[in-house]
Amino acid sequence: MAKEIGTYIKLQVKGGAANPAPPIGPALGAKGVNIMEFCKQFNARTQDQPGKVLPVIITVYTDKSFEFVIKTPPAAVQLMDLAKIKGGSKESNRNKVGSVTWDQVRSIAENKMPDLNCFTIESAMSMVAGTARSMGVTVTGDSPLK
Amino acid sequence: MNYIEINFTNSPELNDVILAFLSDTDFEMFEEKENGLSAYIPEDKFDEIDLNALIIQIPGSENIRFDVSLIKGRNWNKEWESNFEPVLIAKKVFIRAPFHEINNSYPYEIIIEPKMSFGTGHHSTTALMIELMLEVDLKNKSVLDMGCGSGVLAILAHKLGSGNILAVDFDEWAYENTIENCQRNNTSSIEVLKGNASVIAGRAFDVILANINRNILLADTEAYSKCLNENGILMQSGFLIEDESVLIKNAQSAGLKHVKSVHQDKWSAMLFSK
Repeated sequence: MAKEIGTYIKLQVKGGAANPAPPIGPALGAKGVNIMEFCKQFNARTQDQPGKVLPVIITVYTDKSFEFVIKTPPAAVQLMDLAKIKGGSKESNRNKVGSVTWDQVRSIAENKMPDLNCFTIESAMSMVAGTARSMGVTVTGDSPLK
Repeated sequence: MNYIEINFTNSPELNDVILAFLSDTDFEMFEEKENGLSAYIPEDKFDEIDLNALIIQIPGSENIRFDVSLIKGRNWNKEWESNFEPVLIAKKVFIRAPFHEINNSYPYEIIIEPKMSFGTGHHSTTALMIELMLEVDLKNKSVLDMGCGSGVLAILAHKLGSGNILAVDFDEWAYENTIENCQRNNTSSIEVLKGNASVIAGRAFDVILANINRNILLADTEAYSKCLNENGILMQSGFLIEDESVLIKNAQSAGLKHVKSVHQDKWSAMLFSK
């Protein structure tokens, strides 16, 4: 018999960094889930991506067991990773956001395709480029999108 | 540890952008909510001026509202802990909480009050370590339990006749919990230290138990190997079966020989000798 789903919890946690603190603690703890077990599993599965923000959707069943799915980092986080000016001082944070190329937009679009409601790579690229614009990241070069 | 919670209330389209700007900072975890996003940071790393300076750079930041609240550190795992069932491992080791009834029908009974530390016996890696420990002769051996969590493995080593036992964990909850559990199991001769691999430098053991995770094992196996007596044994767990080969290579370059691996679910435990 299928297990009865109690609730879904949507978190974003840095790879390898889950610990029994908020929001994992209160969100899972209140449901009677073993937090230590979740942290150990999540960290083992994400240890190759330390520090990267990863969306995780946790399904908690009424019998207090759980399952979770880890997705690829949000397009905005991937854009920030590629566009940021690295190694700057606190002052240089003022101009934190730089630019990305269309090739980089394409690779993020390919990476995010499974999570986006897009049928073609072009429409996924146009969504990623839209996110870039909304966060002040310029896309350099000639647009391959017609 | 106390945490700061920042609740952003804004249009949901901004969630990912805020997340991207915060991802490069000490904010560790985030929760998406219906009306926005909550971000969490340890209290000692939070600086509201820095946060404001960062938010201002976000296009559309004038639409971003947030409030700051303090969440006091507490045992979030209490609900699960107060309901956990006793567990029997390898038909010999019975692990229960203080509120369960005494059960003398097995050779080894261990009482664990978990309190946010790892090692109630319910996880495959704890069970696998116990399985390996039962296979070797621990009588009068000196034992190190590295990353001791609840102290369950150190306590079992004591019950299996080990002599000098040291239990180490860098986590405050685990350190205090191990001391408590040692008292509860009449194994107070176990020495408990708070710290990482640096606290064992210069010491020597016949057996080292390390149920931690892949990355820490990769970094610290050499330090463990240095503390192992000739013909000593290292047992490792806390990693997935797919990570075995990289850990075996790592242990071999630290002068250790892979003896065997045991598996449960997707988890592995391995035994090495020097």
